[in-house]
Formats: sequence, C-alpha cells, structure tokens
Amino acid sequence: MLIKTRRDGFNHPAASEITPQAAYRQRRDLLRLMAGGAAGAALAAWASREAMAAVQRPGKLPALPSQPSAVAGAVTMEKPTPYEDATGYNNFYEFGTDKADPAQNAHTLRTAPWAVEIDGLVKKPAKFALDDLLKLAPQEERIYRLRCVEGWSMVIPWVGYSLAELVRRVEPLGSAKFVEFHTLADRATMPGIRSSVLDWPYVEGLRMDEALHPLTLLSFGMYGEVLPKQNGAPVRVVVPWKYGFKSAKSLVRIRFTEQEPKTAWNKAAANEYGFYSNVNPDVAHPRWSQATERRIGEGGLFAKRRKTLLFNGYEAQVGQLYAGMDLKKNY
Amino acid sequence: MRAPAQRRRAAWLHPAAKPLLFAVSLLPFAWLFYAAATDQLGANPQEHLIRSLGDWTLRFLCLTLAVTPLRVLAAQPALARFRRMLGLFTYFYASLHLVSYAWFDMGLDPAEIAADIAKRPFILVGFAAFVLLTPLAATSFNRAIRALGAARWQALHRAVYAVAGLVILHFFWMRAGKNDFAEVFVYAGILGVLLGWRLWRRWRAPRCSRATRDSRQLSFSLPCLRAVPVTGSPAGGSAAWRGGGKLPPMSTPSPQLAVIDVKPGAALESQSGLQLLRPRIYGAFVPPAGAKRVAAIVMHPTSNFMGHYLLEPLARRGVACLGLNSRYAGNDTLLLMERVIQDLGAGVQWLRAQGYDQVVLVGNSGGASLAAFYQAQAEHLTIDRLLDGDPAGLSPEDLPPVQGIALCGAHEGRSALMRKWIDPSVFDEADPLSANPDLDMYDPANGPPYAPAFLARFQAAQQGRLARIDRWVRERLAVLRRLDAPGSPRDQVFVIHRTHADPRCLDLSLDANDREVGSVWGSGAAGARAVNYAASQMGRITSLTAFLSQWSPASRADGPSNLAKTRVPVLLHTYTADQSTFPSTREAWLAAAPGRIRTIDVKGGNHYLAGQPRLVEQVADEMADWMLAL
Repeated sequence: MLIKTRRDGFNHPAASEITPQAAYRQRRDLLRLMAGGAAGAALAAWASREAMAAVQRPGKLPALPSQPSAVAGAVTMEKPTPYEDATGYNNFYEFGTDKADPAQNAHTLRTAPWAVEIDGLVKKPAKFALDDLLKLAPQEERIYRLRCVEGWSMVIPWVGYSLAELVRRVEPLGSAKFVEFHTLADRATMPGIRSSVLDWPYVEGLRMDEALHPLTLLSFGMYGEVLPKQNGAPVRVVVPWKYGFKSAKSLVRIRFTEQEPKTAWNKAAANEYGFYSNVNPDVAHPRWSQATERRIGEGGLFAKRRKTLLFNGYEAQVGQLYAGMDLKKNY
Repeated sequence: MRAPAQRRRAAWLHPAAKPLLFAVSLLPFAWLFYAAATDQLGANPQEHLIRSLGDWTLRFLCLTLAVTPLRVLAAQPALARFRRMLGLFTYFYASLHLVSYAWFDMGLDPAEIAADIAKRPFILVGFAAFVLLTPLAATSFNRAIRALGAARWQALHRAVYAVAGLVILHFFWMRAGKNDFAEVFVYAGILGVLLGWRLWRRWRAPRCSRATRDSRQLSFSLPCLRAVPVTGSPAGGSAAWRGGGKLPPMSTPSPQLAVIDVKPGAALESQSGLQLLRPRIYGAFVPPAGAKRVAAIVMHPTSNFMGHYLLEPLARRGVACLGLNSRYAGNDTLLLMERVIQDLGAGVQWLRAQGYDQVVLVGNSGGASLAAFYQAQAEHLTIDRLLDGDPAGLSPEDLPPVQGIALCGAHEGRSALMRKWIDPSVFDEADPLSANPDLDMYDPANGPPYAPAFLARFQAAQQGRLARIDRWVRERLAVLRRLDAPGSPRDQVFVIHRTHADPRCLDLSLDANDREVGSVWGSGAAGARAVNYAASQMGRITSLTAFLSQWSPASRADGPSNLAKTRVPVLLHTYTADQSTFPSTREAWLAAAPGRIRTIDVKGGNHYLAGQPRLVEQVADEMADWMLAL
C-alpha cells in the first residue's frame, strides 16, 4: 500500500536514487559561474537575451549597445519604469523646478561637442572628449532602483560602466579623498539657471571609496539608447544607494579634492540634505518621513506606497562602506 | 420703465449665468475625474491629483475673494450673487484635496495621517485652513444668515481672511523644500491685493463716505464727497441750507450738507437724469458739541427731514445728528421700502466713516417703521427679492446694524396705516366721489360717536377694499410681466382715492388720548375729510411695485413686527395729544420689545410738537441722555 503516513518519514529511497554529491556540486558551481558572469559565451548570450527582453528599446534615440553587467547587485529583477515616466517626470532644476519642465525645456541643451575635464588631485589631469569616454570601458546595462529624496522611486535600466574605470585611468594622488562632480551651467541653454533656487553650477560629491565602488556608474544611456537630455545627457553619474540628487547630470568636470565638496543641496539646506544622503527609511527628512516611497508607474491611483529599503536595497553591496558610522548623524 | 437697468444689464444678469458658472466650476473636477479614470494623470498620479485639487482650491479662493472688490470697483452689485457659489466650490475642491491626500497618499490610515501631520507642519496648516473653512460652508445658506444674524454671520465669515493666510502659508511651506516660490508669490500677490484692498477701504480717509466709494459706477472721477459746510458760504443766502436760522451761540454746532452717493435702484425712481446717473441722497449733518461719541440719524421714507426739529437740540447735547432724506423724498409714488433701508444704510456707513461707532436711529412718525425695518434686516438679512420677484440687491454690508432705536410719534408703518385709514365707502375706484353712505365715516348719520356695529362693518370693509386693490395689483403685475415685446412696461401707476378715513380722528372716545378732533393734516372733522378727498395724499398715486412694498398687507416694512426681530435697546416717546398715534399704537410697540424698551409719555405733545419748544427740549434731553448712556 502506498499510503504515506507520518511514520514514513524515515523511509528513505534507495541509495542509487540519490544524486551524487559531486554532481550536484557541479551544478551549483555552474549556477554560481553564471551568476558571476563567468559562464561560457553561449550562456552569456542566453543570459543577455533574457536581460534585453526585460527592457524594450523605445526607439526614440540612437542605440547604445551594451552587455549585461556582471557587477553584484547591478541588475535588479524589478519591472523597469515605463520610458515615458522615466523621461517625463524628472528633477533637473537647470531646466525648471516642475517635474514636467526638464522634458519640455531640455531640448536646448547642446550635447555635441562635449568634453569632461578631469582635474584636482590627480597625476593625469585630462579633458576627455565624449567619444573617448564612451570607449574607455565596455558599456554595461545595469538595472538600478532610483530613490528620490522626495519620496518616489523608479527602476531604470542604465547603460555605462563603473566610474572606477575612469578614476583609475587618471591616477588620483594619495591626498585625494573626495570626488566632485560639476554639472554644466549654461545660462543660454538652461532656463532654470536664471532662478536662484540653487547656487549654480550644480555640484555633487562622493567619498573616494564611494566613487570607486563598482555600483557607482558613469552612465551614458538608458533603455538601450543614449541618455535623453532631461535625464542628464550626455554623461552623468548614478549612485543607486543614495538619494537621486547625489547623481549629478550632464557632467562637464570631475575634480579630485582633499576637502569634502560643498554640494549644491547641502549649501541650500544643510540640515535637510547631508553630504552622504544615503537612502535610509529610519532617518527622516526634517519635513517628511522617508519610510515609504511611491513607485512611479506602478498600479495607478490606488497603488500603495512601498516600504523604503536601507541603502535602497543595496545594503549587501555597500553596507561595509559605512561600518561603524552613525547614519543618523551622517545623513 | 427699466431703462438704466437694461442699459447696464450685463451678461451675469442673464438667468443662465449662474448655472453656467456652476458648470464651468465643475470642469476642473470633471477633467481630473476623467484623467484619473483613463490613467492620464501622469507618472505620479497621486501627487498630480492632490496638487491639482490644491491648486484649484486656491484659485477658487482667489475668485471668491475677488467678487466683492470687483462688485464695488465695477459697480456691479449683481456680481454678489456668484460669491456663495464660488465659496462653496472652494470648499468642494478643498474637501477633495484633503480626501485625496488622506486616501491616495496616506491609505486612509489615521495613525499615518497623524504622524504625517506631526512631521509636516504645512499639512497641519492646510488642515487648519480646511477646518476653519468648514463652518463657513456650513452657514452659507440663507437660513443660517437669519439664524446667526447678519452681524455675527459676517464676523464669522471674515474667517475667510485667516483661511487665505493659512492657505498661502501651506503653499509656501510646501514649496520651501524646493526654494521655488514663484508660483507662491503670484497667489500671495493676488490674495494680498484682494485683502489689502479691503484694508485700504476700511482705513481710508475717515471723512470719505463708504457709500461714496461703493458707487463708482459711472467712472466719474469726482473726489470723495464730504460733508460740505454751507452756512456762511457766499451762496448760502438763497439756495443753501441754512442751519438754525438765527445766529447760533458759540457752542452751537453748525449744520453741514451731507451728500451721500447710493447704489442705483432697479427701476426709474426719478425723473431727474442727474439723479438716475448718479443716485445721491442728501442730509443735514450737525456735528456734536464736544467729542464724537454717538450719532443719530433722523430719517423718513419720503418726508424731508433735513429740517427736523430734533437735529440741533440733539447736537447741542453731544449727539451728532444727521437728518437724512431717502431717494424718494417727496415722492412715495415709486417708493420701495427695500431701497429706503439701503439709503439709510448708506447714512449709517457715512456716519461710521466719520468716526462714529455708536449710531442710533431716531424713528419719528413714518420713520419709526423704517428704523425697525432697517435694524431687523441689518441684524438678519432675509430679503433677497422684492415682492414682485425681482432681486432686491441687498447685501449685509449695505446694512450695518445700529446700537439703538429711539422712537417718537411713531406710526406702526405704512401698510398698517393704510389698513386703518383707507376709506371703505369708495365703491367705484375710478370715481373719487363715489361713497357708500353705509360705510362713510364722514356721513354724520354714522357718527361720531360710532356704534360698535358700524365700526365692525367699517373695518371689515376697509380690509375688503384693500384686499381687492392688492389682488388687482398682483393680477396687473402678472399681466405686465408676461409681456415679452422688447420695451414692454414692467410697472404702472394707478390711483387710490380717499385714504384718510380713521374713525379715531372724529371719535375721541376710541383709543382715547389728549388729541383734538381732526387729522394731523387738517383740523376738525372737515379738515380730516378734506385730507381724505385731497388730490395728493398718502398712497394716492402709486406704482404696482411701490404698492406692494409700502401699502399692501404683504409689505414687509411694518414697525412692531420688525422691532420684535431686533435685539437693540429701544426708547419710545409717545406724544399724548397726537392725532395719528394712540395708546394702542404705544401698546403695539411695547409688546414688540419687552424688556428692552423704555417708554416715556410726552404729556400734551402733538404729532409734530408744533409750537411746543419746551416739549422738544424735553424729548431731546431724554433722548440724548439715553443715547449717551448706551
């Protein structure tokens, strides 16, 4: 009788039916290799096919081919935000303070020719033309969560490579402790510059170890295409575990310094926007809670807010950068 | 007959204007609802919805607060009829704003809402504005105005100014995070202008009349009109008003001409083009001896009171006194009591603008019911239409309440007089000589003295005649109002013969006092009869609408019933030799204001205290004491 009872618990199948240890270990290794991006070309192609299928090219701008990123944590499986939301709902104050302003006004931005000046405490200061920057390292696709300090979030498939690639190339001096990012401030093409909302140019900064973290992305594209102007074309940084304003757009200068950079929002309201600005549900903004977020493009009017995750869900990757630091003090 | 009104008839007077505004005001809601249903609210639909509703709340608040300045500056009083609707739409959008915040942002979780309010002061401020707006919305209907009384209702609704401040703070604070105040400043600027205009209007040069400012309707750029001293002016000898007659002693204040602009009426009320273009009323103002403490207005619906015997005696005793004429001085043919109280209100505002916070109405003779009618409406404005159905155009700010009413020689009102004085013996309305001897009080066969049976028959016939005329007036009015050819009349005049038949004029045993036989307008029985047959007497020629307002049983301007609706202290002087007010008249007034009416009999006083200067001084003494003690 094949009636199983609780007493059958110790009735093991025949030893021959048990997978040999060596075999299952091999299968796990294969999975591990795949996860680590070190699998064979065929597997990589297969994996990339899957990844590309997740993000449809909108077909609005020139394509920017890329490979799926092998960096740990760089490809979330969450559903990317619809392209029109990611390009129509932006904070880019150089083009106006309303969310719809950048999409409306940024067409005046001239992205060619474009160069990024690298200076400060480096052995090899240089002025990189955009084309040279594009070719500096292989372009990867990374699907990051993006959490705005205002309490909303998106999921964006960026294209770019780790900022660390560029940093190593210019060989920072031992005295360089911070990296400063300068956004273009062109009165002629950026109508928002005329307002005194912020002290232009927009300056952001990272600690050297933050800048060298593989998740810190120098981005040139999104959704498989070059960056739309309202999203910070032609080149920007993306720091996925920090509030969105830390990720400076339309970079014209990257400077290495010994002193902590004076960043734009910190200058505007130091008690509200700290230098670190790591995503943290437990550290409220002085004027609102950061415990939850509104995921843009998710479920319409009646959708519930999501719980915000520490370091925007990248704690496993970046947590050690802040070991022993009081995150409430260093907000 | 409505030339001026038609000439200025603007789009917003169209009957469809209100429904149209209602529909237009619903458009933002309709669009947001449609966009929400079809997922067109953009990337962050919750935020878009909440902010749009907030924006619309603010816009409707601005519109609501713009109504009064627009109404006054453009002299389009009819605009006031949109204010309530706009105010309620403000509340409508505020409610939706709050609900969508609580629902879509906070998931209707009370704990989360409480935490959010604690965390975000701007939400608390917005919520406070909503809470403050709620009683305003809840008391927006007419019955609430009546229940609260106009003064308290108005005071309550001034809370909207605080709401405006809170709303701007809410918006400012919300935008503070972005340092982006451009839009905030635009709205703050608009609200600042709208509220600043009110302040400016309030604190403007105190010698300017507010009524003057209310009437900038014809873009005349006349300077604000003041009380103009006319005694001693070069032209003073002939045309100008001469105060006092004799050389006044040093302490006697000199009378001044008060010229007060008023709102135009709806109908042709004058044959003077000047008066039509720029309606003005005139008064004689006598400043008080000594400090400004209390001011009195002596006014009659139709008699010229600029020379009233109480003006200077009261002023000498420290009461500023304004003898005011209505726009119908000498013309009761077209007189609408609802317009007369508007004129009286202009006088009250004028005195307030002169710096008199305490204002008292002196209701003498036919002015008594006017004073009571005015104060009743000032305390609880209930009239929004005239009896013919046309808009009355009254608003609470036209009728500032006063602090007391002093009555003397006080009739119960024009409608009450007509009821008691109309001659029931007329059997042919077209023939002033037709007289049914059975009902003719001037026929010696009937008295005096009059038998109770005759009096009962007589009074029933009086009511019958008045009711017949009233019915005819209403039918006639209905006929006129059905005419739709352009230029059709809306009113007409007709004649009521013989309106002076009060048995008490001849029979002194009825309602007995110290009077002599006769009428206030003619002594002896023959004098009273002559008045009854006179070509120009009370209500002789009257328009349909003026009949309804003054003489009809439906008139709302009777004295005691209106006095009963007021809350202010009352002083009543009864002249015991009056031929037109009687002990029953005094009883009617006393019953209307129990506990707050002081009554004084002026022994031997006739209706005008004519030839009784000592009695004038006595009345002035008692009135001034009472007024200064208020």
